[in-house]
Amino acid sequence: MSSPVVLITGALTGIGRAAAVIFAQEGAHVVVSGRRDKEGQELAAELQALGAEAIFVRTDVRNEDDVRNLVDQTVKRFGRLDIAVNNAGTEGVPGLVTDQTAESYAATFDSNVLGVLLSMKHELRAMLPQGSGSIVNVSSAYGSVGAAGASVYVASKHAVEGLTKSAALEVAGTGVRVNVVAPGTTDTGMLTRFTNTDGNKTALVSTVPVKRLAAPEEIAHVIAFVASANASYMTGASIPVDGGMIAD
Amino acid sequence: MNATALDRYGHVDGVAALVAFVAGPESSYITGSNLTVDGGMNA
Repeated sequence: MSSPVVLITGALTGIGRAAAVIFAQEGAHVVVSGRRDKEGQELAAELQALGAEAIFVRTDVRNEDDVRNLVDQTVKRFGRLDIAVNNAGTEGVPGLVTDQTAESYAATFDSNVLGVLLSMKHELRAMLPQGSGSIVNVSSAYGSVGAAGASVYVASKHAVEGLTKSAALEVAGTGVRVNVVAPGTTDTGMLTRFTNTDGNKTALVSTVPVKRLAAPEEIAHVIAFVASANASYMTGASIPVDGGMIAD
Repeated sequence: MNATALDRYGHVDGVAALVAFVAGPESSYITGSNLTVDGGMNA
Protein backbone atom coordinates (compact mmCIF):
# COMPACT_ATOMS: atom_id res chain seq x y z
CA MET A 1 0.00 0.00 0.00
CA SER A 2 1.53 3.33 -1.01
CA SER A 3 0.11 5.81 1.47
CA PRO A 4 -2.54 4.45 3.83
CA VAL A 5 -5.47 6.76 4.58
CA VAL A 6 -5.74 7.15 8.34
CA LEU A 7 -8.62 8.73 10.29
CA ILE A 8 -8.13 9.64 13.96
CA THR A 9 -10.79 10.87 16.39
CA GLY A 10 -9.78 12.88 19.42
CA ALA A 11 -6.66 13.82 17.48
CA LEU A 12 -6.00 17.26 18.90
CA THR A 13 -4.26 16.28 22.12
CA GLY A 14 -2.53 13.46 23.95
CA ILE A 15 -2.45 9.99 22.44
CA GLY A 16 -4.47 10.96 19.36
CA ARG A 17 -2.10 13.79 18.51
CA ALA A 18 0.94 11.55 18.99
CA ALA A 19 -0.63 8.97 16.70
CA ALA A 20 -1.33 11.61 14.04
CA VAL A 21 2.32 12.68 14.07
CA ILE A 22 3.61 9.09 13.88
CA PHE A 23 1.31 8.18 10.98
CA ALA A 24 2.33 11.39 9.18
CA GLN A 25 6.00 10.59 9.68
CA GLU A 26 5.38 7.12 8.26
CA GLY A 27 3.97 8.66 5.08
CA ALA A 28 0.25 8.20 5.63
CA HIS A 29 -2.51 10.53 4.49
CA VAL A 30 -4.02 11.69 7.77
CA VAL A 31 -7.50 12.96 8.61
CA VAL A 32 -7.55 14.46 12.10
CA SER A 33 -10.76 15.25 13.93
CA GLY A 34 -11.85 16.91 17.11
CA ARG A 35 -14.17 19.60 18.36
CA ARG A 36 -11.95 22.70 18.16
CA ASP A 37 -11.40 24.31 14.75
CA LYS A 38 -8.35 26.41 15.54
CA GLU A 39 -6.34 23.60 17.12
CA GLY A 40 -7.48 21.23 14.37
CA GLN A 41 -6.33 23.48 11.56
CA GLU A 42 -3.02 24.05 13.35
CA LEU A 43 -2.48 20.30 13.71
CA ALA A 44 -3.28 19.70 10.04
CA ALA A 45 -0.71 22.36 9.12
CA GLU A 46 1.85 20.73 11.42
CA LEU A 47 1.29 17.35 9.75
CA GLN A 48 1.57 18.94 6.31
CA ALA A 49 4.92 20.42 7.40
CA LEU A 50 6.04 16.85 8.08
CA GLY A 51 5.30 16.07 4.44
CA ALA A 52 1.94 14.40 4.92
CA GLU A 53 -1.28 15.13 3.12
CA ALA A 54 -3.52 16.03 6.04
CA ILE A 55 -6.91 17.59 6.65
CA PHE A 56 -8.94 18.50 9.72
CA VAL A 57 -12.66 17.69 9.93
CA ARG A 58 -14.45 19.15 12.92
CA THR A 59 -16.27 16.29 14.62
CA ASP A 60 -18.11 15.64 17.86
CA VAL A 61 -18.24 11.84 18.02
CA ARG A 62 -21.47 12.01 20.03
CA ASN A 63 -23.22 13.38 16.95
CA GLU A 64 -23.95 10.85 14.20
CA ASP A 65 -24.20 13.51 11.50
CA ASP A 66 -20.70 14.68 12.44
CA VAL A 67 -19.32 11.15 12.32
CA ARG A 68 -20.99 10.40 8.99
CA ASN A 69 -19.53 13.61 7.60
CA LEU A 70 -16.06 12.74 8.92
CA VAL A 71 -16.01 9.47 7.01
CA ASP A 72 -17.60 11.02 3.93
CA GLN A 73 -15.03 13.84 3.86
CA THR A 74 -12.21 11.31 4.24
CA VAL A 75 -13.40 9.21 1.31
CA LYS A 76 -14.15 12.33 -0.76
CA ARG A 77 -10.63 13.68 -0.24
CA PHE A 78 -8.55 10.48 -0.37
CA GLY A 79 -10.81 7.92 -2.08
CA ARG A 80 -10.79 5.31 0.69
CA LEU A 81 -10.31 4.65 4.41
CA ASP A 82 -7.61 2.18 5.45
CA ILE A 83 -7.04 2.80 9.15
CA ALA A 84 -9.32 4.32 11.79
CA VAL A 85 -8.16 5.16 15.30
CA ASN A 86 -11.16 5.71 17.57
CA ASN A 87 -9.41 7.60 20.32
CA ALA A 88 -11.86 10.35 21.34
CA GLY A 89 -12.93 10.00 24.94
CA THR A 90 -13.44 11.71 28.24
CA GLU A 91 -12.51 11.04 31.84
CA GLY A 92 -16.02 12.12 32.76
CA VAL A 93 -16.68 13.13 36.33
CA PRO A 94 -14.73 10.83 38.66
CA GLY A 95 -16.49 10.08 41.93
CA LEU A 96 -18.11 7.43 44.05
CA VAL A 97 -20.97 5.32 42.74
CA THR A 98 -23.17 6.97 45.33
CA ASP A 99 -22.45 10.38 43.79
CA GLN A 100 -23.28 9.45 40.18
CA THR A 101 -26.27 10.75 38.26
CA ALA A 102 -28.00 10.00 34.98
CA GLU A 103 -26.26 13.11 33.66
CA SER A 104 -22.74 12.08 34.75
CA TYR A 105 -23.33 8.64 33.25
CA ALA A 106 -24.53 10.07 29.94
CA ALA A 107 -21.69 12.59 29.76
CA THR A 108 -19.15 9.77 29.91
CA PHE A 109 -20.94 7.05 27.94
CA ASP A 110 -21.99 9.36 25.10
CA SER A 111 -18.36 10.14 24.29
CA ASN A 112 -16.63 6.90 25.22
CA VAL A 113 -19.17 4.30 24.12
CA LEU A 114 -21.67 5.88 21.72
CA GLY A 115 -18.77 7.73 20.08
CA VAL A 116 -16.88 4.50 19.38
CA LEU A 117 -20.05 2.74 18.23
CA LEU A 118 -20.98 5.49 15.76
CA SER A 119 -17.40 5.77 14.57
CA MET A 120 -17.14 2.04 13.82
CA LYS A 121 -20.55 2.05 12.14
CA HIS A 122 -19.54 4.68 9.62
CA GLU A 123 -15.94 3.53 9.20
CA LEU A 124 -17.19 0.04 8.33
CA ARG A 125 -19.55 1.63 5.79
CA ALA A 126 -16.39 2.66 3.93
CA MET A 127 -14.18 -0.33 4.73
CA LEU A 128 -16.49 -3.28 4.06
CA PRO A 129 -17.01 -2.47 0.35
CA GLN A 130 -13.22 -2.10 0.04
CA GLY A 131 -12.72 -5.55 1.54
CA SER A 132 -9.96 -4.15 3.71
CA GLY A 133 -9.39 -1.92 6.69
CA SER A 134 -8.09 -1.80 10.23
CA ILE A 135 -9.90 -0.23 13.16
CA VAL A 136 -8.05 0.44 16.41
CA ASN A 137 -10.17 1.53 19.33
CA VAL A 138 -8.60 3.04 22.43
CA SER A 139 -9.84 1.86 25.81
CA SER A 140 -7.82 1.84 29.02
CA ALA A 141 -6.25 -0.46 31.57
CA TYR A 142 -9.55 0.36 33.29
CA GLY A 143 -11.19 -1.55 30.45
CA SER A 144 -10.31 -4.77 32.26
CA VAL A 145 -9.99 -3.90 35.96
CA GLY A 146 -12.05 -1.80 38.35
CA ALA A 147 -11.04 1.39 40.13
CA ALA A 148 -12.65 2.88 43.21
CA GLY A 149 -13.91 6.36 42.46
CA ALA A 150 -13.96 5.87 38.69
CA SER A 151 -16.86 3.48 38.15
CA VAL A 152 -18.49 5.19 35.20
CA TYR A 153 -15.23 5.68 33.32
CA VAL A 154 -14.25 2.06 34.10
CA ALA A 155 -17.63 0.81 32.87
CA SER A 156 -17.39 2.86 29.68
CA LYS A 157 -13.96 1.42 28.88
CA HIS A 158 -15.14 -2.13 29.59
CA ALA A 159 -17.86 -1.36 27.05
CA VAL A 160 -15.27 -0.35 24.46
CA GLU A 161 -13.57 -3.72 24.96
CA GLY A 162 -16.90 -5.48 24.37
CA LEU A 163 -17.77 -3.39 21.32
CA THR A 164 -14.37 -4.18 19.85
CA LYS A 165 -14.65 -7.95 20.27
CA SER A 166 -18.19 -8.06 18.90
CA ALA A 167 -17.41 -5.87 15.90
CA ALA A 168 -14.30 -7.94 15.17
CA LEU A 169 -16.40 -11.12 15.07
CA GLU A 170 -19.09 -9.50 12.91
CA VAL A 171 -16.61 -8.48 10.21
CA ALA A 172 -14.10 -11.34 10.51
CA GLY A 173 -13.38 -12.75 7.07
CA THR A 174 -14.21 -9.51 5.27
CA GLY A 175 -10.64 -8.22 5.32
CA VAL A 176 -11.42 -5.72 8.08
CA ARG A 177 -9.78 -6.14 11.48
CA VAL A 178 -10.92 -4.52 14.74
CA ASN A 179 -8.67 -4.35 17.81
CA VAL A 180 -8.35 -2.26 20.95
CA VAL A 181 -5.29 -0.76 22.63
CA ALA A 182 -5.58 -0.35 26.39
CA PRO A 183 -3.26 2.37 27.71
CA GLY A 184 -2.29 2.68 31.34
CA THR A 185 -1.21 5.90 33.06
CA THR A 186 -0.21 8.18 30.20
CA ASP A 187 1.16 11.69 30.46
CA THR A 188 -1.79 13.59 29.00
CA GLY A 189 -4.15 16.39 29.92
CA MET A 190 -6.81 13.78 30.60
CA LEU A 191 -4.67 12.14 33.31
CA THR A 192 -4.02 15.52 34.89
CA ARG A 193 -7.75 16.25 34.99
CA PHE A 194 -8.54 12.70 36.14
CA THR A 195 -6.12 12.80 39.09
CA ASN A 196 -6.92 16.46 39.87
CA THR A 197 -3.87 17.06 42.11
CA ASP A 198 -0.14 16.40 41.74
CA GLY A 199 -0.33 14.32 44.90
CA ASN A 200 -3.02 12.09 43.42
CA LYS A 201 -1.03 11.68 40.20
CA THR A 202 2.14 10.75 42.13
CA ALA A 203 0.18 8.26 44.21
CA LEU A 204 -1.27 6.66 41.07
CA VAL A 205 2.13 6.39 39.40
CA SER A 206 3.52 4.72 42.53
CA THR A 207 1.06 1.85 41.95
CA VAL A 208 2.37 1.21 38.42
CA PRO A 209 5.04 -1.52 38.34
CA VAL A 210 7.40 0.51 36.12
CA LYS A 211 6.93 3.58 38.39
CA ARG A 212 6.54 6.09 35.57
CA LEU A 213 3.97 7.50 33.19
CA ALA A 214 3.87 6.51 29.53
CA ALA A 215 4.67 9.17 26.98
CA PRO A 216 1.77 9.47 24.51
CA GLU A 217 4.15 8.28 21.79
CA GLU A 218 4.63 4.97 23.62
CA ILE A 219 0.92 4.28 23.19
CA ALA A 220 0.78 5.68 19.66
CA HIS A 221 3.55 3.39 18.39
CA VAL A 222 1.52 0.38 19.51
CA ILE A 223 -1.59 1.77 17.82
CA ALA A 224 0.41 2.14 14.60
CA PHE A 225 1.69 -1.44 14.84
CA VAL A 226 -1.73 -2.95 15.50
CA ALA A 227 -3.16 -0.93 12.62
CA SER A 228 -0.49 -2.12 10.23
CA ALA A 229 -0.33 -5.18 7.97
CA ASN A 230 2.29 -6.60 10.35
CA ALA A 231 -0.63 -7.38 12.69
CA SER A 232 -2.71 -9.07 9.98
CA TYR A 233 -3.74 -12.05 12.15
CA MET A 234 -4.72 -9.89 15.12
CA THR A 235 -8.41 -9.19 15.39
CA GLY A 236 -10.67 -8.88 18.40
CA ALA A 237 -7.53 -8.48 20.49
CA SER A 238 -6.94 -6.14 23.40
CA ILE A 239 -3.37 -4.96 23.75
CA PRO A 240 -2.39 -3.62 27.18
CA VAL A 241 0.23 -0.84 27.11
CA ASP A 242 0.32 -0.13 30.79
CA GLY A 243 3.76 -0.56 32.31
CA GLY A 244 2.64 -3.81 33.95
CA MET A 245 -0.44 -2.31 35.62
CA ILE A 246 -2.89 -5.16 34.98
CA ALA A 247 -0.22 -7.85 35.34
CA ASP A 248 0.16 -6.81 38.97
CA MET B 1 -11.22 -23.77 12.14
CA ASN B 2 -14.76 -22.67 12.88
CA ALA B 3 -13.51 -21.32 16.18
CA THR B 4 -11.13 -18.96 14.40
CA ALA B 5 -12.95 -15.80 13.39
CA LEU B 6 -10.64 -14.98 10.48
CA ASP B 7 -11.24 -18.54 9.22
CA ARG B 8 -7.65 -19.19 8.28
CA TYR B 9 -4.43 -20.23 9.94
CA GLY B 10 -1.95 -17.56 10.95
CA HIS B 11 1.35 -17.21 9.16
CA VAL B 12 4.53 -17.48 11.19
CA ASP B 13 5.47 -14.05 9.84
CA GLY B 14 2.50 -12.55 11.65
CA VAL B 15 3.65 -13.94 14.97
CA ALA B 16 7.26 -13.02 14.28
CA ALA B 17 6.28 -9.42 13.52
CA LEU B 18 4.60 -9.10 16.92
CA VAL B 19 7.52 -10.77 18.69
CA ALA B 20 9.91 -8.33 17.03
CA PHE B 21 7.68 -5.39 17.90
CA VAL B 22 7.33 -6.39 21.56
CA ALA B 23 11.09 -6.91 21.78
CA GLY B 24 11.79 -3.49 20.26
CA PRO B 25 11.89 0.08 21.57
CA GLU B 26 8.46 1.10 20.23
CA SER B 27 6.75 -1.10 22.85
CA SER B 28 8.63 0.50 25.74
CA TYR B 29 5.56 0.75 28.02
CA ILE B 30 4.44 -2.87 27.45
CA THR B 31 5.51 -5.23 30.21
CA GLY B 32 3.80 -8.17 31.89
CA SER B 33 1.28 -8.29 29.02
CA ASN B 34 -0.21 -11.36 27.39
CA LEU B 35 -0.71 -10.57 23.70
CA THR B 36 -2.85 -12.69 21.42
CA VAL B 37 -2.39 -13.26 17.68
CA ASP B 38 -5.26 -15.65 17.20
CA GLY B 39 -7.45 -14.48 14.35
CA GLY B 40 -10.19 -13.55 16.81
CA MET B 41 -10.40 -16.98 18.51
CA ASN B 42 -10.58 -15.47 22.00
CA ALA B 43 -12.81 -12.53 21.08
